[in-house]
Amino acid sequence: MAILSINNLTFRYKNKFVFDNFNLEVERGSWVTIAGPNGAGKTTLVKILAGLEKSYADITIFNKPLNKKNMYDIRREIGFVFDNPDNFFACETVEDELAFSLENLGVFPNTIKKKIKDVAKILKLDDLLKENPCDLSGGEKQKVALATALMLEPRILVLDEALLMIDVKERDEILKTLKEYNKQKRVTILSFTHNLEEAIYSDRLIILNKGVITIDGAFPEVFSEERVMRKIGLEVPFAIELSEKLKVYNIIDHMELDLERLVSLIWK
Amino acid sequence: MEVIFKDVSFSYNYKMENEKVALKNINLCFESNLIHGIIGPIGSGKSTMLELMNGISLPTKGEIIIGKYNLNKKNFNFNKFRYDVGLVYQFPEKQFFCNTVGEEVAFAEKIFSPKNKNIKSKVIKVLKMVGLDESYISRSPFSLNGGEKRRVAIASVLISNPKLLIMDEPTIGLDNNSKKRLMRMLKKLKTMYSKTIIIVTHDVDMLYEIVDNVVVLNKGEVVVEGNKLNVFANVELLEKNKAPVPNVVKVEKMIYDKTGIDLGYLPDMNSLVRAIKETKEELEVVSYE
Repeated sequence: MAILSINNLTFRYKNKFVFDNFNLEVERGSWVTIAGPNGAGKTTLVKILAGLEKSYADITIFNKPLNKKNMYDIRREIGFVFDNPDNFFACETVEDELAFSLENLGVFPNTIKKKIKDVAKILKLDDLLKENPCDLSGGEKQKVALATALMLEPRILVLDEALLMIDVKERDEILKTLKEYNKQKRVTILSFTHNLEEAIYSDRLIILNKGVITIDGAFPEVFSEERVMRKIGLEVPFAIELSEKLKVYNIIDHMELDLERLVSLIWK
Repeated sequence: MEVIFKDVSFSYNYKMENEKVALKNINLCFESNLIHGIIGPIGSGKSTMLELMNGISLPTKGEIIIGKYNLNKKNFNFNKFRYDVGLVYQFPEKQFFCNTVGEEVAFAEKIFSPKNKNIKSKVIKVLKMVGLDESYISRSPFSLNGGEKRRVAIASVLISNPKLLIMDEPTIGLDNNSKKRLMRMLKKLKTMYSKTIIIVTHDVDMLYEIVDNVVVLNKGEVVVEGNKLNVFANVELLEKNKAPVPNVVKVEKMIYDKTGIDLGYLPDMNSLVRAIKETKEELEVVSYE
């Protein structure tokens, strides 16, 4: 069942069309990654879903049309994490930042404390709770922004280049954690990125180019289209690119996403 | 332009209750006309180091000498210094404030050399350096795509012809084509315009292709530094300090662990593929004989 559907989306900046009759349906509990090069329309789509840009479209989220009347109720259940968390911090400590939204909803302090403990544990933020979020490094700030979104237990989590400043190792750990979260709580994840390495735990990968869906498929089979991805300027995961080059010399016979399995395949 | 750190330490909220040590006893020399990379896990002090190099923060202990400038000197003239040292922040395009690309790029030159009558030709020259033609001058910087915006931001730093270019995560948020173009541009700035470039990044695959030297930081201290080949040869040390390892090096190490075969220095993926192919062919010949 679709938790989000966009029909006939048309949007333009001045005279330039970003979307012209764009359609998308996202299943409940799925993890969909929408990837595309700079200028593909990713951030515009996030802004439209967040109600920050007005568009002509028939958008339904949680079976309710996205309009002025339903905006508050819909937004209440979507967690948005943007690429530049600096713009969102309002409190002097990470702990207060995490508590902020729930305090405003009148949740009991003890419940908030417990939730902060749980979320901090998931994202390894325990040591940073007393720090000022503005004093943290870029990657730490992004983790706090993600934690703030998880505090509200959203039904849909929208990530707009949300792991950009986090280093590869930590990013992989966070992606694994999010996958568990996605499975256990049936949270729908909609991830917007230009980095296909971030799509490895997705159920579905959509490639957006100039406002049009160019590729839409299940993961990882969708990488059979890796040439198209590269042509429009996307960086294909290292293991996929290496597999493709080794296949040309008949050193391996199929693509591998995992480097260790790929090395075993080379020297089997 | 050489950058020297002499026993430098830095703390945020120095001598306050919530003092946070960011860098400890750093002794480093970034040589002229090379590309240097600084890597390390999040919170290791990378961006702090860049802020110290531009005089945005001053060390709480030690001395920083950049070319002819000693940043610790009393009554230091930062205006002159900033003309020679260009800093490109993370997401520099988010600081645009002019209506056109031309005005945006010319801004620093108007401040530093108000009497200069050739600003327009200088703007055209730096736009060319970053791969943008004259038609961009009248365009709004806000209407450009991510890669173009980044290049305009770099051009607005290059206008004052800095000898040292400091960049914080220059490839962040860029797609592959924009990233490759930026890497080519940085190489060109080093070889054709003799710039010293210092890059902080976690994009270690990009770094592996373009840098000469690397500094690895962890918890505010230097773990290892030097020529990239020596630094990246020590995979265990990098992993122990949660520093990223280039994928080419990672695969080489896996092959070595599995087969005992050392493929030698491989600068990129194409040379890795060639080395694997040739090694496999040699092994086949040996086993046939």
